[in-house]
Amino acid sequence: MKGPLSRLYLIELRRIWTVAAAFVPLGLMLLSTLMFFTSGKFSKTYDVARFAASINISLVVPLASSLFGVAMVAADVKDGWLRTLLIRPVSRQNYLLIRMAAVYTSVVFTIVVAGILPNVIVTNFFVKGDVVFDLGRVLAVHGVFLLQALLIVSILALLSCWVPGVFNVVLLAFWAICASAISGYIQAFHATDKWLAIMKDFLFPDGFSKSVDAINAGMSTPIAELAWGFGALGAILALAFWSITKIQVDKGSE
Amino acid sequence: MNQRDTTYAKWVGLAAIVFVTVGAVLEYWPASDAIRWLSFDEARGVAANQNKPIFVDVYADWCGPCKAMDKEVFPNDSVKNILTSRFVPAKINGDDPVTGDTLKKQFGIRAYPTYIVLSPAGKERKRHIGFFQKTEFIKWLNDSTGLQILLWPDLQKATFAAQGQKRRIMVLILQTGDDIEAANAVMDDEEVVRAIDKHLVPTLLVRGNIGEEKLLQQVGASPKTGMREVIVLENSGKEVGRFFINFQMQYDRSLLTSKLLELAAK
Repeated sequence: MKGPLSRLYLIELRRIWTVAAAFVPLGLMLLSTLMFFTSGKFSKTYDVARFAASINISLVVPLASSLFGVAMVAADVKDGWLRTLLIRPVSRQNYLLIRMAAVYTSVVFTIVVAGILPNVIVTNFFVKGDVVFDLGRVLAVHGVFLLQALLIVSILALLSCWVPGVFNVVLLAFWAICASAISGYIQAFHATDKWLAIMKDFLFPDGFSKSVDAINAGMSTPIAELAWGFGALGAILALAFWSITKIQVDKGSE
Repeated sequence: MNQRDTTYAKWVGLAAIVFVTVGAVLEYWPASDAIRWLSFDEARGVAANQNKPIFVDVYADWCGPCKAMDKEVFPNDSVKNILTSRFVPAKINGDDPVTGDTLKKQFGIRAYPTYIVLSPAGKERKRHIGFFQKTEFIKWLNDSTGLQILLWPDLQKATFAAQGQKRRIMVLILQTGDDIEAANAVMDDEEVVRAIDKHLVPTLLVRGNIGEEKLLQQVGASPKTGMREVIVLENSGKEVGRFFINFQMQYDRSLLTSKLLELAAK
């Protein structure tokens, strides 16, 4: 199966990288460079890991994942591509695996171009204050926000199995906003309620983003946060793989 | 070939269950904590009686690093020994609508966890924001010298010293206790230290510290801004001049030095 799958991976990459797609890393690079540059120019101390985390987690990772993951499965169902594929010896799970791998590769490429390179350039040439560079923390933070990108791609894949077109991104944004609002409400009015506090932990999968915060706060290994992150990633991937075996390819999710 | 094969879903789902179980155990298993934490008011009373400094832990229930400190650092025997023998430990829940809000404003808390060491009289000596490794935390607690600017005499002592040495007083005003470490880095510059040692008697006032609002009014501190202010006074208390430490001065300490020298000689 390796031959057909690797060919399929290349085909998926070619389908993703249209001329329009090239504007995603370029546009994000412009935005993030501006943010890194401003931070480097005006901060008293430029903590490389901290700025990498804040700009990537808040801007590059969610935007890159959403732009490449939009209608990930639904579009393939709608235009008949998935039906055509499944005539070949490719299982539905393998199709999803390859589709996600191609999207994730594109997201990682975008993160390197828009989230890592500008930080390297600003750190070396434009920082006015003191530079704080802790290699261990820098590597850990980058590793974790790449996992955060994988988590977002997985959520978009799962949602795209069930909702049409761009609604997977819309639904994800709605979920994140609702979770944040409910968390804020619980925190403000029921801060001491133990069960609501536990419920709050399950509203949105934020283990990886909490891990980044913990690493930047100076903790050695945020094991509990990482376990939550991997748990959420596994659960969502499992649901996505299960969903792809259940959807109707002929009718489409629409 | 089975198009609807669910092998990946099963294996990945199984791994997810393992991770979620590990996460839940680590997150919700009660941490052993033998330190008897007091409320802030209780701690002030005990500290005044025993003449011990107060260690204040400002936390929030939702804060990951705070929970990690409770699980990983505070139960450590060395930490417990130091905290209970040399300090009066107090905890403040920053989200508590009754006490938390007031104390958060009083100490200018902007992030969790914040650790503050107060003198027995309640005056801030040093603070740290964020998680500590055990060894770093012990070192921080053991570091009796603290930051250099915290060793500066208070305004009254500085005035006496200035009169004795026939020098002028330099009052550094910080807008919040959060700024102490960063301000120390600026004032600890070799050139700046030399200029102060030679010509001035320095003192520090921090907005929000207990009992310092009156002193701020006494020296005529400018209304609150985001910047550090320096006021140079005659030893009689009359103002010689003042300036804000701007970005240029922070990066080019010779500018700060020359401004201080200018006011010392004016």
